[in-house]
Amino acid sequence: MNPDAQKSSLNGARQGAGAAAWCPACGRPLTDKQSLVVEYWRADEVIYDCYCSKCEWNGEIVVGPRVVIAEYAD
Amino acid sequence: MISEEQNRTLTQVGPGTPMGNLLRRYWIPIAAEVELERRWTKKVRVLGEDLVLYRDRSGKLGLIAERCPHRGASLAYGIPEEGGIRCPYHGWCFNHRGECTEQPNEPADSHFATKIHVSGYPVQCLGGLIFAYMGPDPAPLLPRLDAFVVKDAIRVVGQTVLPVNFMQIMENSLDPVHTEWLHGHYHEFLNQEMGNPVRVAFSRHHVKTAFDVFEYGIVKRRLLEGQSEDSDDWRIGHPVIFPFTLAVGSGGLGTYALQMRIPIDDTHTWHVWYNAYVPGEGVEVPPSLKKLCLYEVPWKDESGEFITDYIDGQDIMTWVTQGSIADRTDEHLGTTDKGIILLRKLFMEQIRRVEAGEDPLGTIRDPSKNDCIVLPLERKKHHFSEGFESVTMRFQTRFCPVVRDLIELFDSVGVR
Ligand code: FES
Ligand SMILES: [Fe+2]
Ligand SMILES: [Zn+2]
Repeated sequence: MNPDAQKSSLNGARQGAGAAAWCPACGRPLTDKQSLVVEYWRADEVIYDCYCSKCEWNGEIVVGPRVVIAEYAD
Repeated sequence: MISEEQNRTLTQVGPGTPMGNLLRRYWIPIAAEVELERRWTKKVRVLGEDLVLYRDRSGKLGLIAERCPHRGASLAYGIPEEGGIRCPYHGWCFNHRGECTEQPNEPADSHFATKIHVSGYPVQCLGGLIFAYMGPDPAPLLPRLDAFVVKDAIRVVGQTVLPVNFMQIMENSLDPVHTEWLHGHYHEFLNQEMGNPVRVAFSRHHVKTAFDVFEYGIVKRRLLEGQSEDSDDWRIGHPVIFPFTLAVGSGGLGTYALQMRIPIDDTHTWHVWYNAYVPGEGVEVPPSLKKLCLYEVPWKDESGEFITDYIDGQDIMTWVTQGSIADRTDEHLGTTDKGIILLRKLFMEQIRRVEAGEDPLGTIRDPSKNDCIVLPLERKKHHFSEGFESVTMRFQTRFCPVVRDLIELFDSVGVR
């Protein structure tokens, strides 16, 4: 990720930015100047809404603070 | 939040930039026809280029680089000729394509002039405005939006230059929730401060918003508290016409309102409010409303404070206080910013299209599709429920010198 993008005042926000450094579809960097990685928040989740200028993949990468799973009864 | 580099891609509009190349694929308004009625030239700066718009002796319009390539004097002070314009300094003459056609003091057998040319762009008139196309050939068709082509309309056009990048203004148009606060609660707060505690329709809470990409841009819709899903606000909504126009009505059939944000350069935008009103058949239109009325929209008072007691002034205050180019590396977006994110992605996608040699969104090349483009537009818009006069006086139209005549006319004929 661009080091400038690390300057968020939200604690921990950009820690997840590494998750959106590469396109999940084609594997090329999402940091090039004509792709787009927009960070936004939904409750406690940090989300990277991405557009890859190489393969046109468009979608979200979600970095959640914790994982909640259902526990099955025996 | 985005990276600094990606922010630059979204905001740099000069020649050779990815955004500049995209924007050059569209017809761009550069003046109103009335501006050249009593003068021959207008200095125009658009997408970082200094140009001169002129009317030649035959009445034809031209748009070429402002700076004379001889020694740099401004052609905005030029002498109109039969098929072009002549530099006032040493008389070099240029045609509409920017070719130098004459250098009166060079030897008669000189071919020097054929080596000299500046940029020259085609222009076209529609709906009382003059548009330029600054992109590669072949130029697409100039979109005949309903507001421009509707017949027997009263047209009033407000304008101002804002010291900000166009992108933050466009983002505002994909941000429906701001209306509830900026034009709702903030306006009510101002009313209260003035000892006039009136509530405004704008403060109604948003239950949800939606954004859909369509042929010409993005349609945005809102559902407000108390509305049912078959309300016009939710069913129809209104569009952002890609890349720099917002279309809102003025409440009622036969009213059209476009807000065009034309990038002058990276840090300045020419903001144009284009309003058209159709009074209906057989209505006698007073002489004051027969001609397109162009006027300035003020947004600062004598003490340099923003004028925030009208709707567009409120928007302008927020756009300008965001800084000349909004710093998107230092923002904190939430779920209500999804429309803004969509717009940014759409711009990036269209930049890619242009680089791949394709036409970007909204390009029209088929004349049969360009007779009159009827835009989707909610008619019973909750925000305009306070009536024509109230709404007209709370928007920038309050500064239109003939606004009283307009209101009087529609008071008697009614807004359809
Ligand atoms: S709450 Fe949105 S800019 Fe302050
Ligand atoms: Fe607004
Ligand atoms: Zn990719």
